[in-house]
Amino acid sequence: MSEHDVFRAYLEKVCEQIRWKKARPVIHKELGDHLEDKQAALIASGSAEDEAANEAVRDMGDALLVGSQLDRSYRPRPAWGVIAVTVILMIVGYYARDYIVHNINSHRTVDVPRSLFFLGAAVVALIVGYFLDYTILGKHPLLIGAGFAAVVMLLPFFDLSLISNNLDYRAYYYGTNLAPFIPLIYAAFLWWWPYKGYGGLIGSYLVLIFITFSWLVFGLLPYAIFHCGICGIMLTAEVLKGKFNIRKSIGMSILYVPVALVGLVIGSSLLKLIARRLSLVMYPWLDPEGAGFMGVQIRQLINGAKWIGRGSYTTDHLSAILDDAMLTVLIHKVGWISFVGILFLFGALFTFSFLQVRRTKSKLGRFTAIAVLSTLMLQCFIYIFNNLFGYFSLAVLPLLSFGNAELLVDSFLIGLMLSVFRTNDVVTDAVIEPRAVPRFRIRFERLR
Amino acid sequence: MRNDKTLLSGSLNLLLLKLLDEQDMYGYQITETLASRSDNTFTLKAGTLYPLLHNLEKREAVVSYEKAAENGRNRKYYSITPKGRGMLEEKKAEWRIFSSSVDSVLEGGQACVGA
Repeated sequence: MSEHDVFRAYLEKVCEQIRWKKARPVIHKELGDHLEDKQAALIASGSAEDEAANEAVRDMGDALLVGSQLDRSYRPRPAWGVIAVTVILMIVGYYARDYIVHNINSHRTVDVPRSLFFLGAAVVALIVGYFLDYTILGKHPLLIGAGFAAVVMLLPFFDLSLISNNLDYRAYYYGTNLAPFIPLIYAAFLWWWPYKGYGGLIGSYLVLIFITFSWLVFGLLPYAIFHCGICGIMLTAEVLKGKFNIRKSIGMSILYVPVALVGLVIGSSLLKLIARRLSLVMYPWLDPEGAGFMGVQIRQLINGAKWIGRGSYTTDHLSAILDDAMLTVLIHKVGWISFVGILFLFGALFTFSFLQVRRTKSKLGRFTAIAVLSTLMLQCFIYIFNNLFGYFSLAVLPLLSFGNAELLVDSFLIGLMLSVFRTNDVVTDAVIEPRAVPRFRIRFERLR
Repeated sequence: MRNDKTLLSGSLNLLLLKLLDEQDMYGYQITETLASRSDNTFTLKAGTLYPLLHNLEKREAVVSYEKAAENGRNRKYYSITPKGRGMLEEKKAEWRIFSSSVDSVLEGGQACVGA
């Protein structure tokens, strides 16, 4: 039923008083429903349609007054705790990187203007993500997913020369820096995916497998496994919550039996290589100048670290391990107290974020926030694990470790998560209208 | 008899929480139920009701969700939370203390007049 003209005029006047534009559709709908119900009740008691409409509007109260009262109660709610910790981490990261480079014997120098530029750019990326309407992920999931895939596939072929003249390296560079977006894109896709049953599950699973193998093309299997692993956990959660309306035991089998079989096949064919890598991981001294070099350096530095002050282990290789083991070097230079402080900050970030996720009403919002949070937590866990034990160097420490592109990506993702929290009061799944499922009809006609 | 609206404004949260404690309702349903239960003593305008509901939601005393109403159209329903129930009990206790204090002053005034 179309909106009555009197209602539309009234509601527009009310919404003009609402400064937060994102709240206007929500208020328009709720007050419009109220007017409709009041009009229906008046018509049922004998009033004519137009008379009932006018009476319903009079009953609502003065539009300007109603609007100003609603304006006072509908305001964006920034997650100040998360914002504060994020800013602190950015500042701590800047000074920690600066301190470390100044305090190791190497030819590495601090390019202060460049560092400040990227710190400023990270703040801009945070703000862009913060004010971005994250619901576009749910409104155009296929378009965004296809666009993302196109960017990933085509970007390395542009000879930007800012990164490298080597195509393989450019592919690696973009692949590693764009991998954190995988859980986000897949979360939106999973929220939108309208197909139920075993076919629906298999379809969403095939998309995940396609994404994983796409990253293999770049030779980034570990990145694919870690980030697509988060997607796998999200898909598992949806199976267990009954999204596909299937038997959970069969759903879990569909997901994990192929993974186990592939793992067995790969494991058995690469047994010697895996055994060698595992033994190096557990005991890097097997090859201290080669594959075990990083592990040896990290373990020696950690073993010699003190609570406060410089550690006892001396080495000339700090510069060589700095990019992947900045935290190790910081612990060595400043003491375990720096590690405790950084752990405290990340603990605060994740705790504040989880508390916000719990109160997020929109399922798309929760998916988005959880995808970002999971990515950040995984990065933290892997980086800290590597920096304490020297196992694998695959991640950055968000906002802290070296890597300007990674800093921008993580800042943007945190901004997007903050956007979810900021708009929680006015975004529900009902107001997000995804594109309809494409339906194709084939008609056969006889040619005359 | 004129009704002093300032008496109503302090009790609105109590009344809203009480109604929602009985069943989930949407905005128009709340105004109609309140009016009919109070014999039209309490008539809430939208400009008063919806900011109150939104503030209760921000305080996590109620949550909202979309559901089809009796007329078949989707409406935004409000439901009380455990925190809201706790708030309701507090407000009921405050009201009992307030109303019994008012009553004892009024009764004490009549006794003085009679003496």
